[in-house]
Parts: sequence; C-alpha cells; structure tokens
Amino acid sequence: MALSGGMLATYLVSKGDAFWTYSGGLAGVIAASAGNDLYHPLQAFLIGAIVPVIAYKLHYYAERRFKLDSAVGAVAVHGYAGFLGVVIAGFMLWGYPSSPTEGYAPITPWGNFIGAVIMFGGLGLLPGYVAAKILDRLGLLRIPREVELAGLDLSLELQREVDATEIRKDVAEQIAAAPAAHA
Amino acid sequence: MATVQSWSGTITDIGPLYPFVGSELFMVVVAGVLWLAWHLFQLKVEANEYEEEAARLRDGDTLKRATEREG
Repeated sequence: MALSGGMLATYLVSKGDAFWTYSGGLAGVIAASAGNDLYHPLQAFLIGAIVPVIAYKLHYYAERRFKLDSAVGAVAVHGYAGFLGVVIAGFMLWGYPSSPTEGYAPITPWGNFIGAVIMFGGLGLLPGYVAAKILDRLGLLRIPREVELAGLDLSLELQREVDATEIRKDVAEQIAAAPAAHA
Repeated sequence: MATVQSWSGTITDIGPLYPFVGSELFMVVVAGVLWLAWHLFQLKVEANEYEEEAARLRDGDTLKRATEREG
C-alpha cells in the first residue's frame, strides 16, 4: 500500500517522470516502514503518499538552495523519507509500548525525533562526512575535472570510440602493408 | 490514546493493533477520493499531452514525413 501511495503521488508531482515515480514508491515503503507492523493498510498508503512528495520537494530545495547534488535521489528516498517516517511514527503510535518488557518507555513524538536525529545524523551523516573527508584527502573522491565536465559515461564512450578508431587504423595499415609483404 | 497499552497476553486477545481504531470509514473515503482524483488528473494530463502532440503533427508536413519514413 505504501509503495502504491508513493508511486501515485510522485507520478503526479513529477509530472510522470519514471525515475521519480519508482523512487517515490521506494520512498513510500521507507516512510511507512518505521510503523508498518502496526499501521492499518490505509494508514500506510496515506503516509506512503504524503512523505515522498515532501522528500521530492526537499530534494530540489536542497539542490537549489545549497547546491547539493544527489544524482540518484538517494538522500531524498532514504534520508528525508526515512527521517520523516520515524518522526511520523512517533505521532501515529504515540503511547504504544515500545517493548513487550514491562517498564520500557512508551513511544512518543519527541522520543522518535531524537531517535531519528541519532540515526540519520549520528550514524548516517557524521560517519559519511568523515569517510568522504578521508577519501577527499586521499584524492579518491573526485574524478578529473575534464572527465567530470564531459560526463563520466560520455568520457568512457569517447574512449571506446578512440580505441575502436585506432583498431580500425591498425587493421587498415596491416591490409595496406600485406600486398607489399607478399611481393 | 494508543490502541495498545501493553503487549502482555496473547495477540488474539489484544484485538486491532493499528492506531486510530474507528477511523476506518474516514480512511476509506479519503483513499477513495484520492484514487478518483488521481485518475481524473491523469486523464486530463494525458488528454492535454495527446492534444499537444496532435497539434504539432498537424503543423506543416511532420506527419507526412513521419509516415513516409515508415514506408
């Protein structure tokens, strides 16, 4: 239900963009997953429809405002939708016992919000940032500027084309040289 | 108030687990309205797209060239 809600909603907001339609479905599943063991199917459907739209809008907002490029939308799908899913579960499941063991704190919005910050900030953003900094220092994070500007796929295509041309040239030279060798 | 106050006991005694028990009809109505609205919107968008495409093909000899290429 969350998958269908996400796909239907992002299909509309992205004006039928196939990439965002499927990513929205995934974002819907991720958004509802925090409480999917307890949600009613229609609650999962509605949460799965609403959150991917917010994630979609946040993706383009972050791109415009902070110049942060998330080429495959992974930050939106897993990050924004996941974070919001945990926060929404805090409201939807407010008061539910968090564990079958007596004495555990019940689910609360602020508890889930803190949990979301710890997970996505402390366990996601921070280690990712540190790892990226290390890779950057070692010169492993970025490709050469010229290749980046040409586009990595295009650059590979050009290289294949150059290789193919050189092979054809070699073959042509061998054919041209062949009669002389026989003579 | 949460539907479930404690996980002790057997699951069949607990009853519905989802939050907001009693709002099922409301949720069905909301989902039904969204489902209908989505299809109406989609039909409108699709009709507009086809109309734009048809208008482009009617202009000049685009359609003629397209059909000739197929032949």
